[in-house]
Amino acid sequence: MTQDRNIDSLLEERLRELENGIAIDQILASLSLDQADLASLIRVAANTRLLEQPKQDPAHSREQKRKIIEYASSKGYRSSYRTKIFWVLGPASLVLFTLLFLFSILGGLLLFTNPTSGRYATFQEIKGIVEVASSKDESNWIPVTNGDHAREGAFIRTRMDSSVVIKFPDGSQTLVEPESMLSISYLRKDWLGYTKIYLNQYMGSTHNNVKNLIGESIYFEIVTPEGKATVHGTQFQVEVDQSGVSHFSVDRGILQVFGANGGKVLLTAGEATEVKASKVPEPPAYQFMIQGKINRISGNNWTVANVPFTTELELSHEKPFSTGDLVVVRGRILTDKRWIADKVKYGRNEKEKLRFTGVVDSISNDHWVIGGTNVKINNQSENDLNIASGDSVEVNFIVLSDGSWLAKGITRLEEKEESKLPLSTTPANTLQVPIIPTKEIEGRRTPTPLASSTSSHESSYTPTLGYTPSGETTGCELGDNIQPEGLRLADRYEVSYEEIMGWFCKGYGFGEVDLAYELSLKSKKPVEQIFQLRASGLGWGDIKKMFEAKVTPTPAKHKDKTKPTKHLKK
Amino acid sequence: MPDTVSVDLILEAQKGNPDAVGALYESYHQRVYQYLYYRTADPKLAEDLTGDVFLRMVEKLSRFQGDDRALFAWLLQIARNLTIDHYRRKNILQFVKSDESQCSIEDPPDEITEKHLNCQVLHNALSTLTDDQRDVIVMRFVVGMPLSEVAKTLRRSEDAIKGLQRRGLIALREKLIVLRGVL
Repeated sequence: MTQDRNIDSLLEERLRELENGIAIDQILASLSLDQADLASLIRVAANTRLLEQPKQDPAHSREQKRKIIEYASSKGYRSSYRTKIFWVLGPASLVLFTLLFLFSILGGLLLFTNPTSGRYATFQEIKGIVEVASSKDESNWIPVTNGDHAREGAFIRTRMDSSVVIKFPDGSQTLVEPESMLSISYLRKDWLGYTKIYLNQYMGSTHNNVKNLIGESIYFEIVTPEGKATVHGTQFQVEVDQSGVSHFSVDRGILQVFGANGGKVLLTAGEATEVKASKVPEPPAYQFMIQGKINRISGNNWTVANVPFTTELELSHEKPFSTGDLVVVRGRILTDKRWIADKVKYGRNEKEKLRFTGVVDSISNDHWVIGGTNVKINNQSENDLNIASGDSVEVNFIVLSDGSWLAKGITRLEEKEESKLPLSTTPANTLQVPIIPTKEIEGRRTPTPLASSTSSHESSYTPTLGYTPSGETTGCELGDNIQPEGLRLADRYEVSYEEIMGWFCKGYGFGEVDLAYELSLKSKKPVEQIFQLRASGLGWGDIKKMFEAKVTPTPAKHKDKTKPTKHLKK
Repeated sequence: MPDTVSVDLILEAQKGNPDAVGALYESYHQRVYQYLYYRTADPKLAEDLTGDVFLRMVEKLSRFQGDDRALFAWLLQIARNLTIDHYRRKNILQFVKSDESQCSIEDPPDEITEKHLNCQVLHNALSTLTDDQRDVIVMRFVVGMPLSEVAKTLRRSEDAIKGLQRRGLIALREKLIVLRGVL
């Protein structure tokens, strides 16, 4: 019996050496003659350890994971934890409660006296014109600058070619893309230190980087007219289309999307869904993005950058896209492998970009199958190490001359590092290469200043800092190419496209041009005067105040408790 | 044992954080599945039971105390109990030889030599072991648990597990020689 135990222990020692990476030959060589019988047992163990083991079917495990997460969600966040805390504390709970109560009063006092205590968001990385107001329909939108604060109740909008990063007290950030509008409906830290952020997004796009929950608790929610998204720590995008569709997609983490009229889906990294007015959310689907020239349009079947897809959008009525146009297409890959475009818009530069997300079905030396799609691999492909079948990945690829796809890089989505928000897709005053819509410019007009020039405003103000538009806006030299923003502004203010582009090429962003013409229209002052003031160093907020004070003789506005103008602080 | 998860992650999952629960699933589901595969000889059943293991984990996680190793040991305990319950309910033979194997998918038949150990062969050889021996061999050498964790999972002493390990390896060796001439 004792001898058996000794042999058992000796065998275990050798097996541990095996686990610790010692070569089997070395282990076997160290056995004495009377231990020779152990050699074959060690070999059996070693062979078993090295064996390629069966793996769960990727599609099944993905579905299983989704169900388990849904089940965990349905049980309610923190409920069990709170129960546990309550019972663990036992008799001491009363004392603790009293202490917490006192701390909460102290915390409350700090909360109200310290602007960084959790009730303020800060504007950063402003490009172009970003404004705040106390209501969506407020006529008095006030331009903000970097470092300004906003708190709950504030409405925020970006003009054409403009963007802003809103930084919340817990470190979460929202990048607001051009021509977007949202409001902060709730922004508070509770007495346990958990930050709750609720936003309403009315139009446009946001990229949201919600601070990871691990080690710190926050709660983030975005409501759109068609649905809402709630998260605890993730990176995701929301796009609200004026046609009554909200689009949600996830880069990292998990997102719960609810339809305004019921229904819920859970999105994991790489997935997207759409919610149409009065409908439940579409089932989660992987995504694709194509930037390139249109090769072919045949009814609903399109080919862009040699990638075919279908679209059910009624694009022909609103946007007359044609072959050769440079476009950006975003869409979903349905379970039947069909690529469906959800959004097509004019592109910003001619660089072809092709990518899609999906689950790795199989891996071999020269090609991978991802979401049912064959992708070639070569030594130039930059793929994450340790990707295995069943992982969700993002594939950047090119189309080869024979029509096959070659991966430039494959990244495992769940392992994507918590990244900074992307740069705005339309940086102010910068056009890498103008787009080439085929639409003809209609109704070009001669530049017409809106009113005669007066100098009544300037006398009372002495600017301390000069503003010099760079005048280096790339793309201006390529006269054959038309900017859609320029066209839209020309139409909106009934001036020529060339006049708009004249300001743009002096270095003003389209958002600034938009604001200048709007002020000119309201104040009946020439637009040149407004640009002159800006060039003299006056900020857009001051210019707007100056003009509106003169033009609109102090209209009595209703008092709003959450008026953001009062929250603006530097 | 490959892949560890942080205590923070376990704590978050205990609070019901869906992200953390998803991360735990990602970390452990393949090894739980492998254990169940060798335990049931039925890939479909092993998949279903894997799902059940994690649902049970979500239900009971708030009462769990310990680190990542203890968590994995606990998951295998759940898996083992669920398997026993399943067969008790079905009142069927617990371990049957299966022709349905996921092991040889990547190995074309002509490449499987007589001396080539694949998991189908291992699977059939394991079927001749006692339940306890099979549990020890699978936990130690398939899913990679340390002996001390195997002892905790099976609620036996480490000495007992060492004995089961040696006898299990001897039985496995004999069977592999008979089945395929491996070794």
